[in-house]
Amino acid sequence: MTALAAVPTAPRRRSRLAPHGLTWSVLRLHRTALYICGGAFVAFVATMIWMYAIGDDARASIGACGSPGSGLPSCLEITERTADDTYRYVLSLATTVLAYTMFPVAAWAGGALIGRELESGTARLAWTQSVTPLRWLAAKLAVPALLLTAGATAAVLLNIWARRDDNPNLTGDWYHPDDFVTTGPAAVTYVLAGLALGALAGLVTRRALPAAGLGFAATLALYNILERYREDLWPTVSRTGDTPSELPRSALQVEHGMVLTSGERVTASRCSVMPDSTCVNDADVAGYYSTFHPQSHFWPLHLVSAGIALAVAVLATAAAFWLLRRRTP
Amino acid sequence: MVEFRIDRRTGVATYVQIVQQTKQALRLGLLEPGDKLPTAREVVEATAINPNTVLKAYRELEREGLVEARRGLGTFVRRSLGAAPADSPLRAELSDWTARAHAAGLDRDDVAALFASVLDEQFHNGQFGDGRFHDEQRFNNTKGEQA
Amino acid sequence: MTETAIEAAALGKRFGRRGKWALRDCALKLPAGHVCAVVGPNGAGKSTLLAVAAGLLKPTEGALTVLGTHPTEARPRLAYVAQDKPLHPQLTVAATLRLGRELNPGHWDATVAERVVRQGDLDPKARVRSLSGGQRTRVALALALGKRPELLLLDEPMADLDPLARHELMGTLLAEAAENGTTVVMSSHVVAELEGSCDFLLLLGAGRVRLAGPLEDLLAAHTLITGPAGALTGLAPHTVVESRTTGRQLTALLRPAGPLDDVWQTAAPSLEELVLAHLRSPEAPALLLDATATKEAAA
Repeated sequence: MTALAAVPTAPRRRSRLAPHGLTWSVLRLHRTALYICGGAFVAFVATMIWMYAIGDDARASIGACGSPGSGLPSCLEITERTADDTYRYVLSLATTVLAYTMFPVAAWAGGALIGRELESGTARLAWTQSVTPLRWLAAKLAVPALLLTAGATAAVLLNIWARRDDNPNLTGDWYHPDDFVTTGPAAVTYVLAGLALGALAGLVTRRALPAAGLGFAATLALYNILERYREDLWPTVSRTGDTPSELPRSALQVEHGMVLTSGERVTASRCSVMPDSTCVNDADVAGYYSTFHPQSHFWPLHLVSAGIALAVAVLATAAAFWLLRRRTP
Repeated sequence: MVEFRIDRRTGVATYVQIVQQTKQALRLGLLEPGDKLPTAREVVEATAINPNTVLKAYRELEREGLVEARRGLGTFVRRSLGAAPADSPLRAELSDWTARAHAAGLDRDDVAALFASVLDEQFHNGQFGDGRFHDEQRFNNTKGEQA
Repeated sequence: MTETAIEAAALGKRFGRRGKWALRDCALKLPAGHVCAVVGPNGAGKSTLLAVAAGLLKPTEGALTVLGTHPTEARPRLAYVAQDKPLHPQLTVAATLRLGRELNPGHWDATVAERVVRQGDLDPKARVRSLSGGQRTRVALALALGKRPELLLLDEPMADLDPLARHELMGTLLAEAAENGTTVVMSSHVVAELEGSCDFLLLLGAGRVRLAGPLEDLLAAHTLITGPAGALTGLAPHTVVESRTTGRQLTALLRPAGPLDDVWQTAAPSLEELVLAHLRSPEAPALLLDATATKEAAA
């Protein structure tokens, strides 16, 4: 699904850029979805521009303040400013929307793109024109994949642009799930995984509604699994000391606890849950440890997540083609 | 121009019906030399019968020298079957005879059966060999406007 | 043009590993240039045969060729209209025809497609979902005929249409097919709607071919007889397809192997009588006639 299946053999009178063949048919058949996505994209762009515009104001609203004469803005004035609240709230909402795009995409791909066509027989209508089933599926996946890739990439870039200096007080910490996903290529590969899983669900169920449900469920599972095991996707950094150490805010703490004289590590949660019976003796404690991901781990973690989602997309696409090939002569 | 009426219940082969109806139109003077028969496409569109059937009927008529196909133009009547035009004396005689039969108490079916038996006797080797006569066969003829 | 439209040998298809055979041991040869009726009761395998020929289903065993090649190779040269006439409800009639043009690059005849639509007084701007059953069928036929196929496969094309629409569409279909020299294969379980329109018959029963051949030859090969019930034994040399006794009278459909005794009154069977007799007697042997009759020249 790397290239558009339609071959450029348009009659001379028509513009060479105008879509034709299978590309035209996919765009025309899913025009409503195209309009909705286009509208959502325009709204997202407008929101990001707005966020960028109030970014300075938001930063000023959480800046230092002082009594009159100190040269700083007055604290009374700063509390009255609400730009930071708007900025924080709208940005987090937009980030969530972008991170969740894969769910409606999966439901649509399963339901409208593939499932409904198989259920109503219009897929067979296409296959008895001069189009093979495999080319049909290729176009069905390639056209939305290209548009979604372009749209999601633009959305990620706009998001990064609107977040400016990534002040965690305003934009959220880097390890916050939605912020983590939407500030790099994972946002794109997640959407592609949604598309592929939806299409596979459509081919498996061959009916619109079950396919939409199955596609949605599969994507939800993928999202949650990736979120649950994200911290395991890259080796953590460990720090030990004589006293329990306070990690900086930018660190994603994975585990912390005590190091015993034997060298064994005991997580703190064990003692906090059952402090009397099973907890270690103070005498045995030689020191304290914590494992965490520093902010520098954002890119490795992010790229591994993105890679897994891309692999899922590729596998689901391959399975979809295999299934269609097996079913049709 | 003639319009063919195909009756699927009669058991008479469809192409025979077209041949018979064309001949009837020729006998009654509804088709005259130079008149154009409807094209196979027109007949098929109007009657939903197999195109090969129409072609077969037209070939039969051509073989009998009644019509000729002019390439690219259509099929045209070559000669008429002028034996008994609608107002011929023979028709008048038959009309008289039928009136007498009716007066004698024969109903429509009796007359048809009598007529059929005489026909069978006189024309023993019938053209199409099925030997069946159908009084159901009626003809829908309309003079062509272009004529 | 290829001489043989569809040819199958030992063709079998079953759905699922343990499923019932929808088609079994089918051997048939449909010559090109005919209008062929595929007749049989529901579940006889008509739709399956057409879907295999359209390259939509894989046969479980045996092989089938279309226009001398594998069905998937013949895809651009054949058209298929499924029983429920699937169309995209959100498209207009004009957009549906545009779809045909876009998906059949190089062999799309817009004139034919538009003519078929125009004959039905269809508004090109009307959405498919607002059309009646007859209008939908017309659009589906326009899409199929616009492809100028060498072979047109129609699965129950006229089912659930009123008699007027049925007559009109059949006329349009046959006229367009004749103009393009298209071989038409259409299935139906209503025999009456095919009489007169078709000149080749393929009768399927329980997944097997029962009768195949030029319609006239098949009819000519059978005779309906009535006579005294006691004379049944005298029919030995002939193949009796079906016989029924009412009191002292015997009625039978048979394939005469020679001249018949004078005790019998004979009549030519109608298509419907031929089909019904064969469906009522599943054990009667199949009859497959070759299209030896002089090939009709296309107009």
